[in-house]
Amino acid sequence: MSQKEIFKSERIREEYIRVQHPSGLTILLYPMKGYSSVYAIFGTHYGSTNRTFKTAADPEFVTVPDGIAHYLEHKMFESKEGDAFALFAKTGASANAFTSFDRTCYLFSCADHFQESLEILLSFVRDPYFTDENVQKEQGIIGQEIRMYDDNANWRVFFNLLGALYQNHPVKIDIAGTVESIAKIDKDLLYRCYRTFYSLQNMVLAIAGNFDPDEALAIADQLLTPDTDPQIQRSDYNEPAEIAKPEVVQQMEVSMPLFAIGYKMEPCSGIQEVQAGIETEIVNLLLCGSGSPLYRRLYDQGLISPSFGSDTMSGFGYFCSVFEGESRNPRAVYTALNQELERLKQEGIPKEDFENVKKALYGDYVCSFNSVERVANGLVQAHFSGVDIYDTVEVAARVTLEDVTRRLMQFDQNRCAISIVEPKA
Amino acid sequence: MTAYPLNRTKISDSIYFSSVVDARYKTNRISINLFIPLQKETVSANALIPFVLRKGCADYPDFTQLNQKLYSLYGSYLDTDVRKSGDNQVIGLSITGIDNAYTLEGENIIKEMTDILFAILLRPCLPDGLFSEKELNLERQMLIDLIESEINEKRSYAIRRALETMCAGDPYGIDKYGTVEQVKSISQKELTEAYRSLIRSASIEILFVGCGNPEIALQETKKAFADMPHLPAAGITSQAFSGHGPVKEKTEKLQVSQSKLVMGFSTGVHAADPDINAMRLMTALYGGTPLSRLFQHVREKLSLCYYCAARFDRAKGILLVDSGVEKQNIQKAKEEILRQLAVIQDGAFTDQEFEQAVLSMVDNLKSVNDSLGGTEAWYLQQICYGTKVTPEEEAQNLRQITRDDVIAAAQKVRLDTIYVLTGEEE
Repeated sequence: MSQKEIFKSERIREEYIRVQHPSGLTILLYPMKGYSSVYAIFGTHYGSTNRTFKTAADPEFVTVPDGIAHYLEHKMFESKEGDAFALFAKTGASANAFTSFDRTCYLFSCADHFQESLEILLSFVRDPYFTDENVQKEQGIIGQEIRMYDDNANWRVFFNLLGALYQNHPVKIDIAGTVESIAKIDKDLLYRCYRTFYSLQNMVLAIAGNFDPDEALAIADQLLTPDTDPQIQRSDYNEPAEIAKPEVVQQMEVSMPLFAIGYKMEPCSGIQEVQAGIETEIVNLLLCGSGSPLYRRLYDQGLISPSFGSDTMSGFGYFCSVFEGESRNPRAVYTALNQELERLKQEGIPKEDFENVKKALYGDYVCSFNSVERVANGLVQAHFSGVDIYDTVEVAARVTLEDVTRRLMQFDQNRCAISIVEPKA
Repeated sequence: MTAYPLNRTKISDSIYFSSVVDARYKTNRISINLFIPLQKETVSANALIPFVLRKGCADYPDFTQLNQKLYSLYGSYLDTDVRKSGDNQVIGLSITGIDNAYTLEGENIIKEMTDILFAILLRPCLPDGLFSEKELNLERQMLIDLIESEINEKRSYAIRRALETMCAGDPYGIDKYGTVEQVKSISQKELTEAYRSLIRSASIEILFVGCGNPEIALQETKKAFADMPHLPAAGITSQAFSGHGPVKEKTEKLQVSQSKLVMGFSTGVHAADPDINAMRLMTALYGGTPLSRLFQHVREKLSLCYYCAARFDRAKGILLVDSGVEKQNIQKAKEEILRQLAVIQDGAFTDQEFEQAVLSMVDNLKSVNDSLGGTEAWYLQQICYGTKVTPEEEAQNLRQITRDDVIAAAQKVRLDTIYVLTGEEE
């Protein structure tokens, strides 16, 4: 019998169940009252950046070709009997999968036949079927996917920025890899990565919405056999604090220049990462959110449009703040942003501005508990970051002006880069 | 069967307030949707209105001050947009925010959200009776940039160009923003007149969806429109698209490494026609799911396209297939897409494929009410088509459809337009 632990949030009046399953899998169950659908994610803590690693069984660290986690995701849908989409189709569920920098997730959402769909999910991800032939065939499809992203100016401007900010960290490389790197992927490499990262000890099952937790657990009990812990060591990326280059420019078929400006900061993990993320979001909004004086000035000068926005991204070995948009003069935005940064550092953050932005952010986190999809994804993300899903909303409610002021001081002009995609001459 | 949850109140002949209250959410969303016929002469001036309105109102004349206020309302999200719904242009204003119950200090934010939304629509800043020149110039340029930037997203750009080719001469062929030339020529006077005409003559649908009390928003709506003269509106219905003559073909060149192929079909079935569900099911079977004919055959088996999907526009009865394809495979993909349609027309699909398409649609329908956006879109559609069906009832209706209904629907589908966007070199 699995031990159930209940986690509660007084603030949003909700709770969920955490189970450490005897198979080694962590199971997070979040029934949501009044909802009709369920969203289930079976995910591994393995993404595009896990390029170099070793297990207890490996004598040395091994480095695998870029794009292999994503390649593996594509291949997992195939089995001897056909593809997993065909199995889900019989239940009516919508199934999908995605690979990000640090995780690969297989998921479905449904309103009916939840149990059958969960059985399919827990079975096909446990049953790899790679042959020389089917691995070879996938090169064409993934090659097309890579080319499609090559045409996408928003995607390019973002990855070019990561290339400017990071010298060594593989976060700068496209999640799908390159046409050249995926050519080196074969059946044996896929099995090696599978055996390493698809151990249940490295995985999580998160379910949110309309379902019975005991039914879900019964299915897990029936289908999951214990996995040993491969004791994965992930190589650290030897990433210096300095950026690679301050500017990168590419020409593409676009109507107006696109830009992405990033500030590289020191990476952190666990609850510190949650705290740093919230502080950084607040600084972003104070610097150039829609209610800031700089936003107004740039907007009135026609230098930014409503598409302008900011984000924080972080994970194992990387942490940065990113501002993206379109502009006739991206370098002028870059200069203005850095000047505003210095002004805020000198003059300090007005208390009232801080309080307003904090409320805005808090409201946004509360909203995320409206959606089965966002809750399921939030559970997975929190688990792989080593925190609880409620930590974000709790930290957002408690963050102070002093915390945010300290964070502001870590935005460093010397660790700021700009990526520009400009129209073809 | 539960009762139809939409509560509808008439404010005047062409203004309605509707609400759906559902305890599952933690938020409320109020939207104002103004429907006006798509016309070349007015489309751009109408499109510019929400851009200018979003910049401030008599209560919050300063844009920064307005956005600060929204921050303080827990990041309530004030959005304006321009849509196309069949033969209508729809100007939308909406505000979404957390419910009073989840605020840190127990504030009544529904009232303030509603106030701001109506102030934005009905009490704009009009110094000297006109929208200011400064705002006009700024927002006119923003709109021009937006139109020009549509080329950045090749997939949606190709779809838009295909529809323009297909529907030349039909209101649906008019872009929701109009053209850059039209936007450039809009004056302060023209914009202000377009605004006054919009408020007086549009069909206005106001929707409240959320866990809170809609009464506050309803009272505010009544007050807001109490002494506003309103002209009879054109209504919100659309004509089905009818294709004539030979297949239209158009090829355009841009620097792209992956080509786009879009095929437009007329069906003659639209809005609340009796066989509308058969046509929607046909679309799902043809190219609406990962198990569809297009996905399984054109993408998976033949590796001809990275994506290949079919969608059905209910308001106009138009079926579109769009795909991303290597240049050398365009002809093959075209043939295969048509061959798969013929397969359905001939009834050469399996019972299993049929049942899977039904299951997928039924499942999607049952999930509609799990999001505010899904719920709002669903009930706005019911209003547009004059129907009163819940997603659960629609799921039951779908189950009544037979293979023969789907075959009959497929036989109504006629190829109208082939649009190709491809690379310049070679």
